[in-house]
Amino acid sequence: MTRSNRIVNRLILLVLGLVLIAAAAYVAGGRALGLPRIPNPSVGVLWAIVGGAVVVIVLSLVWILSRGRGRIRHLIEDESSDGSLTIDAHLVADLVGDALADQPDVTAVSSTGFRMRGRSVLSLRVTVRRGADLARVIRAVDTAVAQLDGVLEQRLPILLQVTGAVRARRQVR
Amino acid sequence: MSSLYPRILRRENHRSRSLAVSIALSLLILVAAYVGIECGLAAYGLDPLLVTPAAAVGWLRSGEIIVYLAAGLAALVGVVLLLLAILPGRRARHSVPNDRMAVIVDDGVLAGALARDARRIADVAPERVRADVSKRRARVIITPTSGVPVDANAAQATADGLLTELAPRPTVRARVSVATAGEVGS
Amino acid sequence: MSTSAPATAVAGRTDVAARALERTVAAASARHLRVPVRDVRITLTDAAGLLGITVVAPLRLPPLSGAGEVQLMKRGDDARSDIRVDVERLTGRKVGPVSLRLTRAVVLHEKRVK
Repeated sequence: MTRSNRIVNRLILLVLGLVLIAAAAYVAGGRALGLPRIPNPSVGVLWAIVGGAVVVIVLSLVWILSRGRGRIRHLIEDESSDGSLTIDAHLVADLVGDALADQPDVTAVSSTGFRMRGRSVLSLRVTVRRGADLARVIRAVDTAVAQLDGVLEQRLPILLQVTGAVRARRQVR
Repeated sequence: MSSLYPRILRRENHRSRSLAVSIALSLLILVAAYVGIECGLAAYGLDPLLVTPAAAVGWLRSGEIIVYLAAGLAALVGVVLLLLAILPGRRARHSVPNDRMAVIVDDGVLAGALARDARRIADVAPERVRADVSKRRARVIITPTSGVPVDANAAQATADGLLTELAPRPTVRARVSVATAGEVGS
Repeated sequence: MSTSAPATAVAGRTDVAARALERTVAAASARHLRVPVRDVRITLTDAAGLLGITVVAPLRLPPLSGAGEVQLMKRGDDARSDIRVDVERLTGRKVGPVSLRLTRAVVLHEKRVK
């Protein structure tokens, strides 16, 4: 989700909110404030509304369909003249999840990948028990990632989320 | 990577409002589709699906109580949308500095770590320690065992030590307090 | 097969041949990736006259702590060329691009009781 997307989201909410409040005020108190009555729907008005509805629907669909970009499954892609080699985020998560299997405080490891600024980022979510030794868990992930860097021969950007709640997503363990 | 991690952390610490917009727009599509169909039917002089636009307008003007209720409901939803638009939507998380990764920790996990250390220092059962973490403050409350005093200074030092070691951002200051009323039994 | 009408006989033969080919490629891939054959998905295409192979499968790997000198990219590329050599040898067809997508890691520990 880019920065501008976030701003657009809030603008959309702002506009929708204001329109709703204005419409409610108009219907409830319009005449008391001296505003004109709601017009009778003539054919011209009706077609205008239909056109407006179409525009609203199209724009909304465009926005809804443009969501969810950024998530990727392929973490590393290497193309050459005789084919290609692709590594899924899940493979990397499997390796890290296995390395964390000895950690008593870690209950689950899941992963996804996303792209940011042209680079693939591995997002690791580690679920821990209540009262977990946080420093120790982070150190364990640090160690696993250091070993991973050697195996991949590159330092992938990594986002580590340490959470206490379990989400029903793909779990490595 | 140097410019990537700050961006990632910023994105992870605040809600994008993506879900709210999806829901709002989905409902909007349904409403717009219905209104469009009714108006289209009316423009052709065909029978309406439910109500004709003219009848709907008449109802809106009628001043019946239910119109006011509906308007009130719409205004309420509008206010909710406004709030969602304006409020920062900070997530209950903190980032932890790390050489290699961008690390985000749920506030609940931070609280759990503080509570765990406090429990060890005070030597009480887990349910006797409560910890809360908000944006800049952490509160730890220890309910001691009757007759067994708790070294509040040591507990405070332990909490401060953990926060210094982890160094969550935004900076968190801990306040450890020992309840005056203890509980009998360990 | 020999008793069916000519058109169906040709279609049937191509079908069986294609599937047999896929199975051969799958078996060769499973062998070099050290994973069960049933976890391997193969897609065969024509690539400018050559046989194009796409393999989607997990990969057997040692644990990170014991991985020592494992280089994942090299391991993957070695697997690709090994598969290519095997398929050419077993089927007599010339292989073009081999695309390997590694979906999961099967981490097996020696001497560990779970």
